[in-house]
Parts: sequence; structure tokens; C-alpha cells
Amino acid sequence: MKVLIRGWKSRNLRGGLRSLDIDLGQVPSRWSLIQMPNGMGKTTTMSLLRKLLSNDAIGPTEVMDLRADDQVEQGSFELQLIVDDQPFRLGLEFDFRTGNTSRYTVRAESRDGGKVSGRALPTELADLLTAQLAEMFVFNGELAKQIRDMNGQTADNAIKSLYRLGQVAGLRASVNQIVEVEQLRAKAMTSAKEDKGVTRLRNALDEVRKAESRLTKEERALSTQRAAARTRADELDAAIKDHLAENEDYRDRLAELGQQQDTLTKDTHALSSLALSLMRRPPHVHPRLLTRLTTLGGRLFELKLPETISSEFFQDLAKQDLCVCGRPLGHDEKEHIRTESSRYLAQDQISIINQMKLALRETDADANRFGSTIDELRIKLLERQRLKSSRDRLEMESIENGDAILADLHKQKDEVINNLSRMDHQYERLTTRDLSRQRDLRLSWETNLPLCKGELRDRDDRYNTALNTRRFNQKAEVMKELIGDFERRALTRLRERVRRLTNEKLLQIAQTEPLEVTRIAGGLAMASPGLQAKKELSEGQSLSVAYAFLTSLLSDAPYRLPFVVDSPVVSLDNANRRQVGDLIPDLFDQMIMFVISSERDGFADRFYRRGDEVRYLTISRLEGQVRVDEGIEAFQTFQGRDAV
Amino acid sequence: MSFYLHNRARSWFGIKEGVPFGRTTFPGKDTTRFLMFDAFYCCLLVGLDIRRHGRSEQLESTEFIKGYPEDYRSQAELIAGLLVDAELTRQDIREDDRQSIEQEMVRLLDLRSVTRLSDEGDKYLNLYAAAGFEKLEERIPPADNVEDFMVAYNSVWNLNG
Repeated sequence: MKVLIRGWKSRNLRGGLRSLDIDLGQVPSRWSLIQMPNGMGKTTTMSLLRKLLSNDAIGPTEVMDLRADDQVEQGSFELQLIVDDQPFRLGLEFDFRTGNTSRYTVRAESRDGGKVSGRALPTELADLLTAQLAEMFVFNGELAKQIRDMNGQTADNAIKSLYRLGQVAGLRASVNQIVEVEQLRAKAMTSAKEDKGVTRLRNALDEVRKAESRLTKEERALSTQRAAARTRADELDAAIKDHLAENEDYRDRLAELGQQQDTLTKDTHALSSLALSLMRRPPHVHPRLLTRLTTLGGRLFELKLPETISSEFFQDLAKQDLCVCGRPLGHDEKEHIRTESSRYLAQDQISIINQMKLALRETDADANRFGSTIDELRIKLLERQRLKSSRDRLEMESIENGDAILADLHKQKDEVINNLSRMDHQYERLTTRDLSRQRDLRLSWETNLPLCKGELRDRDDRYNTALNTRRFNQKAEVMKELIGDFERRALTRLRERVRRLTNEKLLQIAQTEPLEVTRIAGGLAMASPGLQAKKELSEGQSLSVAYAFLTSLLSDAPYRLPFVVDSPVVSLDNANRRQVGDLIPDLFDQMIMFVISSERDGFADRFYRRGDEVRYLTISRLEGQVRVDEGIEAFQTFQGRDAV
Repeated sequence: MSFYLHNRARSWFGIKEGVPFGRTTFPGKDTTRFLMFDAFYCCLLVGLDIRRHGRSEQLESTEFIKGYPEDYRSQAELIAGLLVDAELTRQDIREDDRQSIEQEMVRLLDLRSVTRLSDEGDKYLNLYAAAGFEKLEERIPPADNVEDFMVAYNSVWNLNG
């Protein structure tokens, strides 16, 4: 199933959209490059495309902002689509006197065809086209950064939106509504005296609900601030390093220290991993533990433990008429054997002791290896400390020699670190679950989120007990937990699927430096394979990651969707432009790219060799009139003011 | 087979969002992560070494993990062996008292459990870990990162000897 954009028309809208008809062809070209100078309405067009496709509401202020001038009273924007070979027209009509918007759809089918109000797309497509998804395929450039922000939710929201996990969350809201209705029903049946008590409990519950909402907001805000401060600290570190490298006296010494530090970090990681894996084997930790284990094993062998005959043997024997020695067993003998069988171990008890005995006997470890590995680690840690001191000395030396910039960078970094430490403390107060810390910091449900959630559960329980809806509420809680569990599991699996697909795409496209997504949790965590996490990406890499993620995600959509992008490479240098120009064309079935004249070099020119599959449109304003020129010649020769 | 931390262990090990030394530990592909169970296990070995029980009131009210993480499963019999050894010494059971030794093993071991321990055995493991934590707390200051902790932890073993 496929959606293509055939074109659009605007009337009486601001910028270059007073009267503009864009025609991408009866059979739209795979690639459309629309050259449109700044100020002609690119952003407005992108925004209206999103609103139309996603059915997202447009407020009166937004409507008024679209008005071409004070003379016009009405305006419109109409999008022509081809959905599975069927033409559709989605339209918005604006009333500039009232700020109202009305929507319509025109369909070609004879049954239910013609013009109808609202957005009337096939159900599956209508469900798919949410506001969040529209931001992806009518691409919002800000997304490229946002999807990598681990403190944001953009990547997760995109996944949730495409796979409609929001509907699962909606189920939870429905359960809450049902509980509320049941509580209202129960409350209506309480007597006046009871009602007073119930109201008191309800007020107490609302009080803690408000606190929970306040603390949750505080926690989110603090998380964002901490992440920003950490990024700032990293930036300042990099700036200090760069600044020192500018000085010839320090450059070589700094490079040498950096090299030593890299080697040392690798060695320390390797040794600490080895020490940890040795520590997880008890006989390796210390010779004393090995001795104890082998001594116990030896003792069990000496004492011939466990017995080899099990209680089951005697219980079976008591069922026989003849003993193993051939003598007949009467009633009394059988009873005696049954009673005495309890003195012997059961088969599984014998097995476990034997298993342990065997493990103890086979214990063979170099009990000194953990100690010797730790000794090596200690030496490396001391070296690391020495190296850090050398670097600090280098920086101090520079400051003492009158380097005011470095002094200022240090001052800024100290401030950020102090700030961060204060925020860490606040965050701990807000989120700690540690009982002893909660006690030490004298936290209460009004200041600590886990305590607040506990208090909320207690008060909710008391309220529901008073209303006789406690059991009902408990069942609802179980239901909500199941829904939450389902949602979490689904999200985890979907994240992994999208991560895998994204990495497959990245493998094809990131040529200069390999990149991979190591984790999706809110945002995308990036790394260069075999190296540490990668926090900073170049603009080109950032776009590559965004496109790989979006195409992976969109490849799972039930409809193949077009991709519309505004100024795709405006912020990139020529090398990165060429990279993006080579990368993105093959990712989508239909691409509509708004470019400015300065993007022709290095990007648009990569399409020139693609022949008839590319449509070139150039939109310009001449003496107040907007004109659309079609063809490569007009496209290549246009001299807009952006080109200067 | 539920495991409980000492109620001061989270602060001491700097556990943040389930990660010990969480302030200085960042996800990296090339390092083995120090688990919450590693923290528990470090305490446990010290407790089994000094052969002393802590008190159940010192434990957190909710378990932090059920059963052993993957890396520890193959060590279940050896950890069980150290528990049996510690209990035999703690109860002063004579080396040649065959019957008492056998009874003690029957009481502490269970073939069907992942830890190879009975419910009572699991309970004792938590108590030994609590005593071990107190010993660690007494002997070394809280560490800032995993490496510093392991160096200090190793020194505790040499001090104990």
C-alpha cells in the first residue's frame, strides 16, 4: 500500500502562498527538487502538510497568522494525494474573520465519493497518520538532534506512535475511568455521616496526588538540567584540551599525555574486567577460601558422606515379599523396614550432596591470581593518578603564565561541577529508595517520590476501603500492571527491532567512520563499533543516523509514505553534502526536497545524473507575482538572493 | 531464593538506578558491568569467611533479585559449599561427627533450587552477607568507582588473614 503526493494548491496565504499551484505530475516523479528562496513559505507549507495529513488541530491564532493581507477574508490549502492508485484531495479552508478552519476530503470513488467534510482517508491510513508520525515523514530537521537525546523521549515516541502503543496506554486511562465511575456510584450510596468521612479521605488522596504530580515534574526538570550540565562539563573539557593544543609549547606534551591516557584506560578496563570475572569464582578470591572448599570436600570423602543407600530403597523393599538376601518378609519386618527408612536420606538429598562433593573435589584454581591481577590494577590506577596530576600541572603552568582564557574555562568548569554536584544531591533527595538514606536525609512523602508513591497507594487503599470498592480497585490495579507490563515488553522488543534495522542501514551509509546504535531508551545511544559511547556527531553523521532511523521505522509502516524535507543540507559543508546527496535518494519511494539555491552545489547536483526520474521546480517572485518554472535549466540558472 | 541487601548497602556501594558506583559507571561495551549481585556477593564472601550471621532487621524489606545472575549459576555448588563450611564451624560441629554433618547438609541444601540451597540456606546466605557488609564498612571507606573498590576489597582479604 502506497501514498504519493501529487501536488498542492494554496490561496490567500502569506509569503509566496497567495496563489500557488504545485504539480508533481500525473505519475509523481520519484524525486522532486523544489527550489524556493527563503521567505516564500517553505516552513508554512511543511507545517500545513503535516496538519492536513495528521488531522492535527489549527488554533485561531495560527489561522490569523496565515492570512495574506487584511483584505482577504478566506484562504485555503489543498493537498492532492494518490492512495493505492486512487486520487484523494485533502483540504483546509480558513475563515480569517473568525479564525475557524474547516477540513474536507474529495474522493473519486462512486460509492461514498465526492466532497465530504473532515479527513476521510482509509481507516488504516487515518490511524497511522498521527501528528508524531507526520513530523517524521514531513521531516522536521530538529528531529535529527532530538532522536539522539537520551533524556528526551523522541525516539521512543516515534516507535510508540508507529506501532500504536499509545492505544495500549489508552487502555490504562480507560481502566482509571471505570474505577472512577465505580467510586462515584459507591459514593452516591453512602449515608450523610459516612459521606463526610469519605470526603475527608478523598481530600487526603487528592493532596498526595498533587504532591506526586509536583515531584514527578521536579524530577523530570532536574534530569534535563543535570544532562545539560554534564554536556556542558564535557564541552568545557574539550575546550580546555583544544585551547592547550593551540599552544605549541603544550601541544606535544598534551598529545603524549593523551596517548598514554588512552593506553592506560584500555589497560585499566581490561584488568578490571579480568579481576571481576576472577572474583565471581569463589576459589579464586583468596587461598583461604580454596583451602576451606577442598578441606570440606576431603572430609566428605573421608566420612563416606552421603550414604549410598537411599530411603527410597528401603521403602521399595518394604513392598516386597522377599528380602534381597532371599528371606521372606512378614508384616512386622516390613513395618520395621518402613520405620527405619526415615534414617536414610532421600535420593535427591544424596544427589545434591554428591554434586557438591564432586564440585569441591574438582575445585582447582589459581587462588593467587585475583590478588596478582589487583596488584597490576593498583599500579595502573596509580599511573592514572600520576598522569592526571601531570595534566593538571600543565594547565596550572599555562594559567600561571598568564593564560586568562584557560583560567576562565577552568572557572566555568568549576562552576558547572559545583552546580552538578548540588543537582545530584537534590536528585538523590527526590528519588532515593534507600531506606537509610531516606531516614538520614529526613525525607517525607512531600519531598521524596518513592515515599510519595507509597503514601499514594496507602491513601488510595483507605479511600477505596471506605467506599467498599477496594477489591474492585485492586483488580483494576492488577489490570493496569498487566497493561504496563505488556507495554514495556512490547517497547523493549520493538526498540531492539528498530535498533537492528537502523544499524543495518548505518552499515551501508556511514562510510567515513562506522557508527552503530547501542541502545534505544528515550533516544538513540551511539557508539563507534569497538569504541566507547559517542556523544558528539558531525552534522552529516547526525543526519545519517536520523535518516537511517526514520527509514527503518517507516519501512514497518503498513503504507509506504513519501518523504518531504526542507533544506536538507543547508548546514553541511560540501563533503557532507555529497555524502547526504548520495545517501538519501535511494531510501524513499518518493522524495520532495525544498532547497535554496546555495544547496545546488554538492547536493542538488548529485541528482542531475538521475535523468527523467527527477522533477525540478523553481519558484520565484517577479514584480510581486509568484511564478513556477519547471525544468532543470531554470533550476540551475536561478539566482535567488540566497545564492549570494 | 530471594536476595536482600543490607539496608545501608545501597548508599555505601553508591547504587543509583540499580547500578553500583552509578555516579562513575557509564555504559560501555568493552567493560564488564559490576552488578548489584556482585556487591551482595562481595559482602557474602566476607561474611562466610568470618563465619558470622548478621541480623534480619538489617536487611532491606524487599529483595533486589531472585536467584543467581547467569555468571554465578555455575558457582552454585561452591557457594553452597562455603555456606556448609561456615555453618559447621559456627555451630562447632566436630569434624568426625558424620551424622550432624549430614543433617546440616540436608537442612541447607536442595537439589531443585537454582542456588542449590533450601529456603533456610537462602535465608542464611542473606544473613552472612549482612555481617560481611558490616565488616567491609568497618574496614574500608566507601569507594568512588569499581576499580578503587576492588583494590580495597582485596586488601580486606589480606587483612583478614
